[in-house]
Amino acid sequence: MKYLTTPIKLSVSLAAFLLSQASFAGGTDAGTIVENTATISYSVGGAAQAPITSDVADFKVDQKVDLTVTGDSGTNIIVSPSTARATTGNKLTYVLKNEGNSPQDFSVLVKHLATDNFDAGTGTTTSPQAFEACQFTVTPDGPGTAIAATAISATPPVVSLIKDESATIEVTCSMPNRPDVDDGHLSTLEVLAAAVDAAGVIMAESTIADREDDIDVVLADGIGASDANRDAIHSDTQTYEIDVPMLTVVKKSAVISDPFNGTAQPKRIPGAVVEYTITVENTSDSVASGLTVTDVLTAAIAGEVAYVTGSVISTSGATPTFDAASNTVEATGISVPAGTTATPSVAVVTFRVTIL
Amino acid sequence: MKTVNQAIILSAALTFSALFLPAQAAQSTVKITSEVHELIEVLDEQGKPQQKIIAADEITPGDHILFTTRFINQGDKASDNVMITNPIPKHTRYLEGSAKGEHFTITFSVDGNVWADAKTLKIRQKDGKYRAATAADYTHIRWKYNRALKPSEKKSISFETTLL
Repeated sequence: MKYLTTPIKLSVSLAAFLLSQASFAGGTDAGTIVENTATISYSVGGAAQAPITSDVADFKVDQKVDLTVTGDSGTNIIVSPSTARATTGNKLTYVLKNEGNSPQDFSVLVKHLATDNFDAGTGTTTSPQAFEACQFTVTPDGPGTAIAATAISATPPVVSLIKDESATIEVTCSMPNRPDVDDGHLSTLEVLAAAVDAAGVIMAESTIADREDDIDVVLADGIGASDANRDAIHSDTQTYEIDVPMLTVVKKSAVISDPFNGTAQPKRIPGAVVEYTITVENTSDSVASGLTVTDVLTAAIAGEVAYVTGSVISTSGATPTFDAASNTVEATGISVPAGTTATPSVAVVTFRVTIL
Repeated sequence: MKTVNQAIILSAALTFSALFLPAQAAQSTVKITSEVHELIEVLDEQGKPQQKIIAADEITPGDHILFTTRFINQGDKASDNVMITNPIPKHTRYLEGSAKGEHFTITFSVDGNVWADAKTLKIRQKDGKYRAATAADYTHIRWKYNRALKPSEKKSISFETTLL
């Protein structure tokens, strides 16, 4: 008598439940044995015979190695210059996911790209912000030890993720000072994750023929930002973008008085006093400080006007001066608060000249 | 004592075997075997995609599996009412329309008890109402041979699934 050594799935409802459970992204666990048996019933001459069951046709599910690294933001992360690494907005976020069908170790490499305008976390000047090199953390959603803040280096740390588990990678950096960076300058950082084995070696596809009783490796990852198809690596980039205050400068003049009309509807004739108003407008959401407004009076140099001594005034805490040798009005230390496009904040410098 | 024990064990085994449908070598007139292969897509000389049957090596989730069952009448009398029942393997999902068998009526079940063809099979929802069953709901496939299986006659049937 031949007895079946493998169990028949007698509970059909349980089978249906398990089938619906198995539809995760990673899929059926590597090492699972999938079995098929068919049973035949028949009769001879009208007499029903005992049903016969076939042998079991089976295969073992091999290991599919698959991963994705996805940058969290579809747009650049806006940052201000001269900000410390711990500043709330100075963070780039990526998600690493184990899309394979078995637990897997992944090395996490973070690097600066060379094709951008600057490297976040660096700087040639130390004032007002000394540079703080970029750091990153890796935090698994589920089981697996998190990687605490670590500097970017050539030896990437390793995180373990079970099937379908994700980990969040956060990169933080300080931002350089002006004038090392300007409005719109970009710094791009790339995260490359590689599926590695217990020895830290990147997973490779099994090149030998399938071994029935062992689990072979199939690489199934796609093409990332800078990696190839099916190389056990995936990557993505995120970018910091510098935002500095948007300032506009407008210079206007108004005639204050002339020798004949006085201050009643004065005209611009020799002897008239003209007042210049320089308005600095800030339409951005960052305060602009440490500004210097400089106006070289070319008309004075040309002998057409003469600066009215002591007439320079500034409304914004600046120290205005006039240098007679160079005919230059200068106001330093101006600060313009944040404003909006509709209602800009202003700083005003005024001075007067006499038409010669 | 020893004899009695053996007799008990033997009868238990016989009862057990009746439940678990063993192959009865002395009396079976039909031999049935089951095979598994992978189906892959290749491009032929004209660049058109064709399906190719290869050994079931390196199967990973998402792969396309072909299960084939062959049977032969080894007896000297014809067999009637030939019916093959195949539970859909765990971890796979039946591919709609893939069950094949020449001169067979093919039906499906979602519970192993009620059988109907693909168009009429229904499944009960949580709210008690019935809806049309889809390939993802099937738990069994059944092939019923519409003719008699003559002595020495060989037949084969097959169905396809994806590995979840």
